[in-house]
Amino acid sequence: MRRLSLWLGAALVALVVLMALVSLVWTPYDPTLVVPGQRLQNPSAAHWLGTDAMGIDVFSRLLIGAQTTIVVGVVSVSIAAVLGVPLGMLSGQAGGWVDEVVMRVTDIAYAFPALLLAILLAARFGASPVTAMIAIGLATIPSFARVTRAGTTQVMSSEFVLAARASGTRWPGVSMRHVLPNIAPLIGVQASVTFALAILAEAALSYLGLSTAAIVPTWGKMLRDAQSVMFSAPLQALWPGLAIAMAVLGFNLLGDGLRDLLDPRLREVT
Amino acid sequence: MTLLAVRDLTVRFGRRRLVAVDSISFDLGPRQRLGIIGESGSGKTVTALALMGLLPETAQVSGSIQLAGRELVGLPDSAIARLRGDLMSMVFQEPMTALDPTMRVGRQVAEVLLLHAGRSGGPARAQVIEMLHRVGLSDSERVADSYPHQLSGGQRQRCLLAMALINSPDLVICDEPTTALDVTVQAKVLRLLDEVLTAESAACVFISHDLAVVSQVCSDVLVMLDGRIVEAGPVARLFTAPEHPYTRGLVATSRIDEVPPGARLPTVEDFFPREQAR
Ligand SMILES: Nc1ncnc2c1ncn2[C@@H]1O[C@H](COP(=O)(O)OP(=O)(O)OP(=O)(O)O)[C@@H](O)[C@H]1O
Ligand SMILES: [Mg+2]
Repeated sequence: MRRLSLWLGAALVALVVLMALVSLVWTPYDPTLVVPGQRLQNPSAAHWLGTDAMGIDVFSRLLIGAQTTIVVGVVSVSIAAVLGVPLGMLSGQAGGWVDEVVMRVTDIAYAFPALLLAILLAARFGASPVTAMIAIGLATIPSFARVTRAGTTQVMSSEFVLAARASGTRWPGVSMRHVLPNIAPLIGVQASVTFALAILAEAALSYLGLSTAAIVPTWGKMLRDAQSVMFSAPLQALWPGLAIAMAVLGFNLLGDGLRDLLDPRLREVT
Repeated sequence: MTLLAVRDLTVRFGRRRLVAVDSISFDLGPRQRLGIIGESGSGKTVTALALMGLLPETAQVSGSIQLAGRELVGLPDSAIARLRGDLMSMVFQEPMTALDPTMRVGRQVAEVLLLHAGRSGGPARAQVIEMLHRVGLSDSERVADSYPHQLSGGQRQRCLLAMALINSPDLVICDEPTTALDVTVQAKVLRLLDEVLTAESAACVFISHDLAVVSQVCSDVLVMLDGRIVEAGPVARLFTAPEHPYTRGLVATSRIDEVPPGARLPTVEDFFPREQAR
């Protein structure tokens, strides 16, 4: 059962990655080519998933959309991890007032609505996938910092850290050689779950028109376009919806699977 | 010339300044072995950590600890860190948790070497293998390439010994190094410790709650009770003529082989009723 979620998650994630990779070299049609004569066609041999309200091949758009999804996920998770992990490690290792300050700041950041941040950034710098990625990245720093801090305090209280210090290891060595490897599984799980969150957030932002410029094809943008033909052509919303659900489910299952896989060893640590 | 001179060492914890170690003093010469015994909570581990400068920040240390003429109390952590693993080292109680589960054992031992000597990878490995061999791990190559969870408790404890001894420290502090091991393995590890300490001509502070164990390694012993030293002297004298009632209790409980079959085993409380003493 546990392995199932890991493998299913990995398979779904692999599928999304495969879509993105394939779209780099091949799509059935030009995903930005508007063909007014072919609007809202049903799935056929020529257009596997039909065409949308602008006459663009849906399957081609879906493939290209996977690219944006992956890029948004990777960039936002990287922003969150690169800032959140060191912050959490600092907090967990320093303790005392440093810990207190960092944790109160993350509490406040946590309470700040992520959507508001996205709107503010879009208002200031214009709506684009870049501002969306930055907004999502910044908004998920606190959860990264918290998970990292929890793991770090646990590792710091372990006897092997004391033993390492008794051998003369100082704090940079303790961080890099003992804390980081021991919390790596936790960070992996967090990254996977945050990836899912980022995909969902980007889709929501695109849907709200806060992410994508008109030309960049994303799954959220497809949902937005589908809205106007919701009743005449419900399939238009189904395809991007399925793609988003698949990616989100994939990363969440992968995160859960990793957690289950790595938990026994984490327990052995303490 | 003394290696370690402790004077009026006092350790308090937290805002309420609870006293864990109360004004203890002792000396230790080079190559000398000193046992510290006492019941759980008597302040043995706190004393050891104070010597190593490893107490948490909530601890307040006063008094004086001089190691080879250097005052350690009040020294910044970075300065003491230089001495740890080099001039003094420590063997911990729990072999199961004192090794990093994510790191191969050989690398953990090599780390200690590299931290202080700054030698490159190649010769370090050879030295690690040799050290593991000397602490009685005959298949030292395989052990060095193992992760801690692939080793038995006895093997792990030997690895910890190797870590503590690889830089030929002057002082090795052992905090109940054999308590977590079964009796036969315990005897082997103790014999080994005795040999390696002699070979490296290192002094040792050996902590235990078991007088019988201490007597296998040490010549002298301190008895601690509630953070204070209640009795000190050569092990032999403590066995034959214990002065403090608490020590008498400890001696009796360490000689269960002299209890006639069927009779009730003695407890420390038979000799030292704690409630009255307080
Ligand atoms: N970090 C700490 N904060 C507060 N009190 C502490 C701390 N560490 C130890 N103490 C207290 O100091 C006292 C002595 O503890 P210590 O660990 O030295 O006992 P011990 O003699 O090693 O016992 P054992 O045989 O069980 O290991 C105990 O009363 C304990 O509660
Ligand atoms: Mg102890």
